[in-house]
Amino acid sequence: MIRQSSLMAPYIKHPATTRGIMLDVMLCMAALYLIAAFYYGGRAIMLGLVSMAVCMLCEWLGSLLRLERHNPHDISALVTGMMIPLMLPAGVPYYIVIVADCFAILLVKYAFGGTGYNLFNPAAGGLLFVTLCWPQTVFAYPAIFSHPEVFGEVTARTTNSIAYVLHVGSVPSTDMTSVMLGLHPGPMGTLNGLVLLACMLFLAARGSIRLWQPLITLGIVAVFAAFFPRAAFSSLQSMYYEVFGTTALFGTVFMLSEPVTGATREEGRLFSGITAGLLLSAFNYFGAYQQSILFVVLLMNVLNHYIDTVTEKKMQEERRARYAKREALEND
Amino acid sequence: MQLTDKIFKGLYRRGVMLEQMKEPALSRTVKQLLPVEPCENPRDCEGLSAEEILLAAQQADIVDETDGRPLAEKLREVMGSGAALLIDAIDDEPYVSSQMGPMLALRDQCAAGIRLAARVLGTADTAILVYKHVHDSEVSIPRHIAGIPIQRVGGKYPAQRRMEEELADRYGKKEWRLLGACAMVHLYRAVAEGRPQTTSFVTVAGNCIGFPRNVEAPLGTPILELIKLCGLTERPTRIILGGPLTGRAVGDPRTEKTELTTGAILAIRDDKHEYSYTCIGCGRCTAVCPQGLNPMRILQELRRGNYRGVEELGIADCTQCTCCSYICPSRQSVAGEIALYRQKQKGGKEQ
Repeated sequence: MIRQSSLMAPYIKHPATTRGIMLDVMLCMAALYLIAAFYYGGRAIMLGLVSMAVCMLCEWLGSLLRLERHNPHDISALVTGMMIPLMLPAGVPYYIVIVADCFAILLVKYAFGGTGYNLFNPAAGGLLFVTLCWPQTVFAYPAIFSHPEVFGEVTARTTNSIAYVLHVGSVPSTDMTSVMLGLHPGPMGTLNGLVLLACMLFLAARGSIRLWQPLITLGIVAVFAAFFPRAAFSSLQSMYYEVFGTTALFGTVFMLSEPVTGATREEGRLFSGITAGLLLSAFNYFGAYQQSILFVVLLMNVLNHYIDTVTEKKMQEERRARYAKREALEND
Repeated sequence: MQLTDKIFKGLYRRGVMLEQMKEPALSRTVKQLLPVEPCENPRDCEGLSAEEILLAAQQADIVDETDGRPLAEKLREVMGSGAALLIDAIDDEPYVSSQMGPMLALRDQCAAGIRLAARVLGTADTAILVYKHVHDSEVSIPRHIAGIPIQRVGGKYPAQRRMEEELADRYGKKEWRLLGACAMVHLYRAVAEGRPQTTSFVTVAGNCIGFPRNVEAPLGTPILELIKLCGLTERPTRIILGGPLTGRAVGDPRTEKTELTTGAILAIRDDKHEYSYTCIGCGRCTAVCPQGLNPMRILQELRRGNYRGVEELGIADCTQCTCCSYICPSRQSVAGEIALYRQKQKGGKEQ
């Protein structure tokens, strides 16, 4: 936390700040929490609050472990804290959320140096860890409007998500309008396609993400789904269920398009978007889990470093060629 | 097709789009700090030879405000070559209109100066360049002044540098010459009225200047005097010499004085307490860098002390346009650190 030097140009700044970018994402996720609260009651909100508190605590602990001063203006831990429960069922036990939070902040984020230095998306890392540890619980989705208990053991009836139905090669019974409105069991923040699309447009309008990046990834997923449906239904239905019935939309908007672990250059982002789409399609067909977006996010986090290296080298070559041409002109 | 017709249509994709805030300074008349009586019998410039014009420019000690080089020297390099003559009145930084303002307010003198310079170059291919995205201008910018076309340079800031680079990429040095609009006014005065350059055009503006305007001030005028002339509405937090993106902060406005290349004096009040965060790697600096550099990687390597890596990343190509620092949401002083590194390198080499 350093006061901006007033003796160095530029003396005017673009109004967008890191804090503002994060607040935009939090605003979008707040809308998703409201929808989740409508479907699942107070537990959805409580999971979010607990997760945010644990993440902030871990953030402070992480700084302490690294012997650094904690920056109270850094709200990135709150973003992670809000994101984790949204990818989990509303009836998930609190301890699973807490474990995911601790893993995300202390191991995925602070082990590499904290905000801005993390190689992997912390939320994706934490979620994948609990998915591997408690797959049965993490994929047990309470029925819509079942309103699981805010505290204590959840007695609500659990059902299978559309992603599971597609995974086993069956045709989902949920109609298309219900899918778009999120009236189907699944991770509590990833259900309502309309709100997610609005979030995507909002973030793109605010400059937090490039709109074409999630569109490319989702487009590739949709095209694959159209040509190779996982069950006996039409291409249109297949596209619709793969994009809006699974966590693909949430994952591409909030995880694959986020700037920290994404590719740096525009060319790299384009390539990254295409690769993510191909990987997501492949995982959908050959993956062992019903939700494969987390694997794709973490894989892309690694691949993005290679993509960045290649695009950087290309750019350097272009620049050198340009200067060589200019020098030749000047010598003439 | 002439060179001036070809080059200014394209948009420069990289860079930042800035609100120009040139009003009301641009639409006001240029204030002369020490008014000079108009010359009653100006010399007839029509029959003058190139050598006579050059001699007048040399004797008047005219300096081109774009690069601080003597005008006579710049003209002599391309004398009789037929190179296209481009007049810089671009002013693509916010608040600054110290070239565009005098070009519009003293258009007859500027046009006469351009014709004299064109005669030295032996060319009829001339154009005045003005930034396109000056949307707040209350004065309409004409299509030509005294028969000399005005070309609008489009694109994002730094449009001027990008344009110069594009010219350098496409054409050799002998095919074009960029001269300042204010230097053209001084050239006319030197040739027709025999006046040496004793003044420079300065924009006095900023969010706490009461009466922003362009001022023709004698060289060596204390900055405080110019600020007093235009009045302050509130106490500025900083005073800047030059544009808000490339200028430098003034320590004491009583001791600092105007120079030949002082384009603007800006008094700015900024009450916002902004904190810098760790770079989150959002890539905005990379997206806007006009040179195609990766400023966030350069900053990382600089902080690690990996100077070899920094050179490999092309730090030498940085033009200090400060787009990276302007756009950075984490408020990292990327351009500032690059400048400090360069200063250090320069100091090391000189020793």
